[in-house]
This record gives sequence, structure tokens and C-alpha cells, in this order.
Amino acid sequence: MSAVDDELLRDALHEYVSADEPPMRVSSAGLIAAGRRRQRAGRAAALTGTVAAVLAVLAGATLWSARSVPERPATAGSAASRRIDAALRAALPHRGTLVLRTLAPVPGGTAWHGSWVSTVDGRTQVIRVDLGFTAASGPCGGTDCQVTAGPYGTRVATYRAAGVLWAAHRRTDTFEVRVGDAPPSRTAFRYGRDELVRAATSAALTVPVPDGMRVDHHPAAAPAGFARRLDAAVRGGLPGGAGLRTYQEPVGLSADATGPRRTTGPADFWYADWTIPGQPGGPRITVRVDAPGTGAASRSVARALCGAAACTPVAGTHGTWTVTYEQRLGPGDGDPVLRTAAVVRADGSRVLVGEEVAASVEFPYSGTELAAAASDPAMSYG
Amino acid sequence: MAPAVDVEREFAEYFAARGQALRRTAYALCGDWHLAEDLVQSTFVRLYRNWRRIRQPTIDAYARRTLLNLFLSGRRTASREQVVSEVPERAAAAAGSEERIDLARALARLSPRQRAMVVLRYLEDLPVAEVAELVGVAEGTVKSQTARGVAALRTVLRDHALSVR
Repeated sequence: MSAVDDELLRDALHEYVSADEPPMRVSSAGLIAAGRRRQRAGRAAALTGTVAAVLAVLAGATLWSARSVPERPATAGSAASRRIDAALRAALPHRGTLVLRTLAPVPGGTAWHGSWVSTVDGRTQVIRVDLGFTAASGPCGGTDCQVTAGPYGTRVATYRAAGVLWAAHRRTDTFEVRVGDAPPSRTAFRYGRDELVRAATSAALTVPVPDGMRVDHHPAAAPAGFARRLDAAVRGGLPGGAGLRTYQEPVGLSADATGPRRTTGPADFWYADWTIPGQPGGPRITVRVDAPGTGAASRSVARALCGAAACTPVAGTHGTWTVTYEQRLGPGDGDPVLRTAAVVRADGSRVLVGEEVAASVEFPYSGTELAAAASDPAMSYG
Repeated sequence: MAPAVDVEREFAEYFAARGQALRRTAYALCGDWHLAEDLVQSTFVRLYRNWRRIRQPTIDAYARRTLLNLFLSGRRTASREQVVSEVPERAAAAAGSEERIDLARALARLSPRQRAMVVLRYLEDLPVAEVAELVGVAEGTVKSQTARGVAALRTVLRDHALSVR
């Protein structure tokens, strides 16, 4: 490698780590406080260990161990609890303080409720995790609702309900995983919406669907060359689409028990995205095509797709419904905005074509143009 | 032994001087600002606990080694747990230049250890011998692994350099 290349790489790495750098949330005062707590905890643990050893000798190891075993439900250690536990730890600050209290199904097994507790600076907070079906048409189950985009065209809603700040990730039409911060005072939330969204998304994409909550369906096989068909339909359907740069090849995905994963056989849905080189705001075009039978075909389903955004389904031919809507992908004025056109077909399949841009930038395509692309027969399994 | 007040002042000064740089290194290692900040926080908490025992000239090396160990051990834990905050197939966020997006993707394709070697060599500008000591491998391994990693990044950078000419 030449010296010029070396310099190029150094410059690129420095630009990579310094552009769009968020402000530092960690402070030296906070670190010193955390360091002191850790030192105190270490000393306390050492002292407790010594005392415990003495007590064990005095009172008998059997009696001691029987009393010191933490109360754990039967579900602790299960695949679901392990994965949710890991998802929470991957997403939330103070991960070392999280302790699983309970994770158990309600009678009938149609929902699971779990709770983790975390004590920081003497304040104990309950982290609630619910897995279950939801009949709500929109993604929000409370007030102060905000909707953010998740992977594969999914959405995560954050809202407040009964003193809990929730992030709810709807993995399929009806199966939802939500993570909530439940402070004793009902207002002093420890976690921000972004952190809860990360936790809910991570949990929703990795937690196995518990027995009794699986939806048994067999997606139809997509025709050969479906990925190429999708790509051609997007480029052909959008004005100037030939100049789109493939940001990600279309992939078939299966929403099975372990979350979306690539599949070479029949897929529940296909997902892909493109970008437009040279356009301001870094617009991104995304397409999601659901297999027939994975969703219901109705006007209410079409309306539910737009969630918190207002939209009116428009009837098309052969029992299709089309909606277009816009949503801000975050609470800030500078957060990106997503415009989507969705077509719900009579066979239950759906096509979502979306364009995401920075808030200050005009959308490159109109809702009508997106809807026309979504209506392209090439974007279907048939 | 230095009084506690002096220790905390020294620690705060070191954090002010090196905190941001370490966070950038952490970001280059993991590609996620949230995780980078967590790594830096854990690194400095460990640093604080051992502050009196660390010799002044070796503080940087100690901090880098701690950060690296946390990153690599975290990766091992994550691979065991198979939990991801974003699905691997998902493309990177569209924010930033095309070069940054492509560089992020190229970095993500490197193994954690290989990525660490590239970052330490080219972002931190450390000599091969020091990288080898930090990562715990032979100098020859650093040279070969870095060369392979850099070859992938070089392709991305050259493509962009050509496209802007």
C-alpha cells in the first residue's frame, strides 16, 4: 500500500469518526460517582462474602443455601427469558443492575408478562416486557405517541399509558413485543424513548414466539427471479428510477420464531432499498412485499398501516385498498420524514413503497408516484 | 498515596483530555455511538478504580487495552447471545456521505480483531509492535491481518476517489 493510500485511509477514518458525532453524554463527575459506587459494591461484596462464609460454617451450608436461593419463576433460564434479558442488556444503560423477576404466560397462553428490576443510586425501577397479540388498529396504546421506523418496514411506537413509558414493536400484524419503563413516581423515567425503542426492537427480533402464540401459515413460493423483478419494477415505476443505486439487494425474509431472517425458500416478505446518488438529504427508497396470506385484506388493515398518521384508504380494482401517508421518524424537527404508499390486496398480500428524506428536504417522489409503483403487478407473487 | 481530591482532579483532567478521542476509537471499533459511549464509560470506570495503581506514562496504553478488551469480550458475549439491535441484513442509516456509508459497511465486514488492528494502526497511528502487544498477537499477524483489512477498505476509497475526479 502506498503512502498516498495510507493517508487516504487515515483521512477517511478520521472523517468517519468525527462527522455527525453526537454530544458526549458521559461526564467526569458521573464517572467518578460510578467508580465510587463500584468500589463500594466491591468492598461490600467482599465483606458479604466473608460474613456468608462464616454463617455457612456456623449455621450449616444446607440451611443457608436454601434461604439464599433467589426467588425465580419457572420460566427463568428459558430461551425467551435469556433472549429478552440479553436484548435489554444490549440496549439499556445500567445493564449490570438488571435482574429478572418474572416472565410468565397469562392463563390461556395468549400473552406473556415479564418484569426486570434495576436499582441505580438507590432508586428501583421496574422494566416491564410484554409479548402478546394486539387487536389495536394503530401502533399506539396510549397518549403522547411517537412512531419510529424499524427494520424491514416495521414500526416502533412509543407512548405513555398508566404511568409507564412504552416502546412497542409490532413484529407481525398482530404479534407485538413491548418494553416499558415503570418508575414508582410514574413520571421519573430512567430510560429515553430511543433506548426503549432499541430494547423493544432487539427483543422483538430475537425472542422466540412462545408456544401457543405461533401463527401457523405457509407462505407461497415467490416466482423465480423475484428479486430482479422487484428491482426492475422500482426502477421502471419511479420517474428517473434508472439512476437509483441499489443500497441493498432485495432479500427474501421469513418472520419465523426467531425473527426476520434470510430465506432461500418461500418467504413471508421481501425487503430492499435504494438511494438516489447526488440528491440532497440522502433519500432512501424502501420496498416491502408481503406474501399472500400473511395479512388480512381489508380497508381497516389499510388504515391501520398508517398508524398515528392520518390517512384515508382509497378503493382500487380487484378489492385492493391504497393509502399514502407521511410520518416523522423521531421527535426532533431535524429527524427524517418517511412518505409511504401501501397497497393491500384481496389475497392479503401487501406492498409498501417508501421514501425517507431529511426533514428539510423535499421528497423526490409524490405519493401518487409511489402508489403507482406499489400497484405494479410485478410486485406480487403471482 | 495521593489525596482523593487530587486523584479525582487528575482523573477529570484525563477524561477531559482523552475522553472524546477514546470515544471516537470506540466508535471506529463498533460502529454504534450508543455502544461506543457505553464502552468508554466502562473503560473510565475501570480506570478510576485502578487510578492509583497505574503509572502515569502508561495510562493511555491501559485505557486502550481496557477499551479493546471490553469491545472484544462484548463481541464474544453478543455472538453467544445472538442478540442484535439491528438485523444484520439492514442497511446502515442513510445519514452521511456515500463514502462514509460504504466505509462503515466495509469495516463491518472485518472480523472484530481485524477491525481493531486497522483502527489502532490507522486511526490511532500506533506502531505495529504496540498493536501486536495490545491485541496479543505476533507482529507478523498484525501486518498480514491489517493488509487484508486495508485492501477491502482501499477498494471502497479508491472507487470514491475516482468517482469525484
